[in-house]
Amino acid sequence: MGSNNRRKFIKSALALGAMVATAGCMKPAEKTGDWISGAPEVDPVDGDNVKVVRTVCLACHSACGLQVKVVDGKVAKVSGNPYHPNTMELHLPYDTDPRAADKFEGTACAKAGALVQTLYNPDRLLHPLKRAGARGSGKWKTITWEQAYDEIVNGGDLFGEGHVEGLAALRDLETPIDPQAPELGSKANSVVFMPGRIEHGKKEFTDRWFKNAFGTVNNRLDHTSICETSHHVGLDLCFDGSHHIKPDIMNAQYIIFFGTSPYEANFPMQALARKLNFFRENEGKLVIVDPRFSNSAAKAHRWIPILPGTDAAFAMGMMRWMIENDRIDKRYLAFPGKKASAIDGHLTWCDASHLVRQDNRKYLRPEDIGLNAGDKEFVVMADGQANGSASVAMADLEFAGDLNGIAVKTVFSMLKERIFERTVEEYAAICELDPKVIAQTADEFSSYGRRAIADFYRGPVQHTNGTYTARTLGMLNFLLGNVSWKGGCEAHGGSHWHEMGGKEGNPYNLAKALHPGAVKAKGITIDRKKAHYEDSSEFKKNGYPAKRQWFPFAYNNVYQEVFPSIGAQYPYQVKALITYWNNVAYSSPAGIHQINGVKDPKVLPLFIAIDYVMGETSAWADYILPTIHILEDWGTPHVAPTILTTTSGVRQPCIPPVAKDVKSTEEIFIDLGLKMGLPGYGKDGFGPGDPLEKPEHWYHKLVANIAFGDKKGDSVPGNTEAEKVKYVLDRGGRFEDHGKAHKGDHTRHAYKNACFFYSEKLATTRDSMTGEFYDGLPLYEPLKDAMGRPVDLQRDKYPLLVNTYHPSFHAQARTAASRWLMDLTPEECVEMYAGDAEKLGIKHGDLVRVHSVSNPEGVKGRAFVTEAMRPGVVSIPHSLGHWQYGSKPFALDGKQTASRKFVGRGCSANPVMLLDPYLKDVCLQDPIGGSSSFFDSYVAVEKV
Amino acid sequence: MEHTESIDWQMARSNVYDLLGSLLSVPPTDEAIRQLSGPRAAESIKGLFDDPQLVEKMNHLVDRYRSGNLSTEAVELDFEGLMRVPGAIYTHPYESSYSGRNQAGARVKWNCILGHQAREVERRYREEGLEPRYDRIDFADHIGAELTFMAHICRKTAEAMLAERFDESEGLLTKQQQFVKTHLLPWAGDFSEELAKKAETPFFQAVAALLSAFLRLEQREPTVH
Repeated sequence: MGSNNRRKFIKSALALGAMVATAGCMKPAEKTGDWISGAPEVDPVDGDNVKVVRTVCLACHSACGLQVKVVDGKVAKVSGNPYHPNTMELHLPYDTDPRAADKFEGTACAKAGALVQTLYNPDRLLHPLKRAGARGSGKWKTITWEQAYDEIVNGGDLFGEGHVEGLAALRDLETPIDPQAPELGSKANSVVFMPGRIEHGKKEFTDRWFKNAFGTVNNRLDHTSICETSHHVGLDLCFDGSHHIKPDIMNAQYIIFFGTSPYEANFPMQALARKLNFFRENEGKLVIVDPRFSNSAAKAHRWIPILPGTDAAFAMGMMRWMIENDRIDKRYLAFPGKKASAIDGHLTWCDASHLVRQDNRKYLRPEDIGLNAGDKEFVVMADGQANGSASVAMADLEFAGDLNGIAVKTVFSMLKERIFERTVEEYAAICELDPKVIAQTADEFSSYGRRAIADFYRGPVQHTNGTYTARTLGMLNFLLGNVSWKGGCEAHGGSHWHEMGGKEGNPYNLAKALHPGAVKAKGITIDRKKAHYEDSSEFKKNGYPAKRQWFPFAYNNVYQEVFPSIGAQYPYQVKALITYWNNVAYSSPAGIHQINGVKDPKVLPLFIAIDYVMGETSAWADYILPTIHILEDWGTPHVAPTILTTTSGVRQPCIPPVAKDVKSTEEIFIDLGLKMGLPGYGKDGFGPGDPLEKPEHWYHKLVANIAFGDKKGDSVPGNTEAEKVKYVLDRGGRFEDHGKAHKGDHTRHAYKNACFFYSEKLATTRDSMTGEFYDGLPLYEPLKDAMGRPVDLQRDKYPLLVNTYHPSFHAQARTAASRWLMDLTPEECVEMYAGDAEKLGIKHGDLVRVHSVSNPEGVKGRAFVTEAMRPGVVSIPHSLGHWQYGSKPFALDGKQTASRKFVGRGCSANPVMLLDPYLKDVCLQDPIGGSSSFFDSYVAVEKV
Repeated sequence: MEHTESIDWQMARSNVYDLLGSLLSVPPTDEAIRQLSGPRAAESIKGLFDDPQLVEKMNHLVDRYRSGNLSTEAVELDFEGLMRVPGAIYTHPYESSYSGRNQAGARVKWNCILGHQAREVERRYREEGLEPRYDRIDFADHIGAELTFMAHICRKTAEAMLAERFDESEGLLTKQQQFVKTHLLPWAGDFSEELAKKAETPFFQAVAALLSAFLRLEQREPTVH
């Protein structure tokens, strides 16, 4: 370029710079550690400095096998374990040499890959902390483990606020916690263990400590009710001992998912998505029922944008169409028992033909009418005559009449009456859908024989009607008779080898033995799960309603009830709360209100959190005991029935803890057990000469049970126990060959029992607040409060229904700590339908405030305006909007800690979710399953 | 070249890099389209190079805009198609994708995204205290990021020269040379041809012509001072 041209260039370019504003794609870099750049430049497979460890993920709860590459003692890369069926289709044969397997990689999702960042998270807690100000003041001081243990066990005037009882004083197995109500149990129940995410191996370890060594019934009040417990409870009331269904995806032809998000969440997301790709390639039809046009909907044959909370109405509309159009399997329904249904090759049978008494809501038993039949038989009609259910091949489906003066109806007659209470058009009106959508879906669903399935998970059940909805959706499958068939509804899955022992092949019976001096905890849990109010002293004194709800069917826990119950001191006072990796305030609907239950030391004298960062809830503790990361930890997590072969993944430490002054949960409780002299710890912990002094002592036995197998002769190769254990650890668990998923026309590990349209247990149990019986049939029920009353949603002020979901690269509270995952997350997180946004004058990227009657201040985030949403619905992805967790500094030893703003980016829907208008301190809840309501809250959105 | 002229040269290059980086990173706003399609900016752009093709494209752009035949929506759609949506007119705007595709024996039209180039350029950005805005682009070796990075480093060079920190400016000039030689120039010309071939609006046809002309200049004399 000549000098004239150069000057011309300069002149033009400088003029251009002054004229045109630019906005590039660079910004100043945030200061980060070396680790944030991720894997080393070279990805070495061989070398003395390279080690491959196979473990199990916990970035979400899918329990995928991981293959972790450790270079020079640092975790460099996380991929999928090729032996594990979650992460490879088809997974490697189990006898493949582990070093040969190093050359293979299964898939790992973004969350698993980002474990490197949560492992080397600069916000990890490094030492035990004690609060140095009022509870929740954000002021902390570093203490030693010895001081922490001493104060927690022995108590004292720990904070200058008066005497606090320590765990030793609270372990009183004799004194009633409430002399007026002895059924509540002993004073030991005033100690509550509340883990957030805890998995097998660790579950049983902490149960041993709290339940069988310390003696509290509040041994493991974990998270399931903020997840999807009503799905399990509802299905548990449909099956006998099974509570999770999944499609046999690879062999199905038609799958309708209500919610579930199989391409972005659910269990295991990777396997579901991968298998669904095969399913779709084979021209399988996928239908997604979801108010949000999800990744899954984008890949579906049809998307049905239902009004949240009305899934049961949709299913009942389908049932009506199927019955009217003779598209149900009447032969299957008419088989009255096991022997009869086996004629058609079924492994299951149902109760459609069984008679139900109309006076007391129970099944009619043979003895009720003087019929000579077996103890466990029911009564059915065949050719107009009453018979024992085992004595006829085919029973009458419809009957209503009197037998010996007792009014009875068949379950099918009752079902039909219930279904026919509304027309398809009326069901469609509830769902705010075109009736043709219901009819078309029912037509399709009933056009593939037993290779069609209806599945669901969290979305349809995290409502006050959750259990009823779960039962109703599950029953769609019964009408097709598809349970346990190849390509149908799988209600068992491959399951796992029993790590706790007790089977004939297992060397260690940890479930029932190996615990000298074990005690038996008794009483009622603080959340009143599995307990009948009618058995309480309170009921005898006051009758209905109870002060707070009781949950006789919630066989998991009622997580969101724990903090409010502590605050209300109901049914008794809790003296010490121990949380583990738990973030109640962040994760519960209306969780910010939950802190009120634990903030007053007079109400809750001692609060200990075991955590690895300063979580929103741990920030309110008196002590925080720092713990280890997934990749440093042990566990024996189980997989979902998506996997049809037997699978026992083993989590094992890939590296020693990065921080040196932190301990695993097992180490903490062994230390505390020894300090308190609890039975079952120390050099004779499992019995004379059989120590339980470190986590490896526990996990060696669990892995040995897996290695030896449940049946005699089912062992993995190895001449000694140590060799067998190594065989399993080298492969990251034990995995049945992929060829064993099916046996003939059925899945191999199939459910082989009854399917219940009618739940006698449910129909004969009363609600603790209203005193009314629950309903034993499929049911659509609108939103209600704890007293069973309609909720005034104030739709004129709060017109939009708020929804939440997991993007594929986030899960729960913990993934926000990864920079990579947050970089994948759009800044705009308040997703709303474009038409709604236009009406409100909101444009994509605008800062908006989302608020509700329960949270007038609300939360703020940027709008994501989209067509891919049901009008009237706002959706906010979970995992964002942290207000602690490393996003803000706290005072440690008089200095402010560092923080990383990106951890707190965006907002969460949970803080604006509705409080129960009667109880006022807890979100709306399903009184049967115990699920918290995540999808019933109405909000207003406005530009700020 | 005079000292002052050297500083101006660096600032001028920074401006052009910045403009191109911006136009290829985010959808142009109404205002940006109005400015660049207006006579003043067009004259400045045409004045940058003695390039008949660029002149022709700019004239066409100005005419179309003036006559009301160029909507913001059409330009935005063109941007989305060229830079974001993997469809018929997608340009695969990543260095990793272009790597080795024209070499003899190359078996693929486009190489995989997120190759080692992405990690390498991100490391260079971080060395200069920068990181990509991943809410705007997906990977570090995006054409917009590499151009914006060069804009930054040219401006830093000018600032160092102005403050007479000559060691620093020399070091920055070396970095400029290394970056354009190792990363930008081996693929950006190929990219500009794709852009020219696939752009459906006169706006991005003009951007392609500007990029092409500027890259030829950089090829000839990247850091002349």
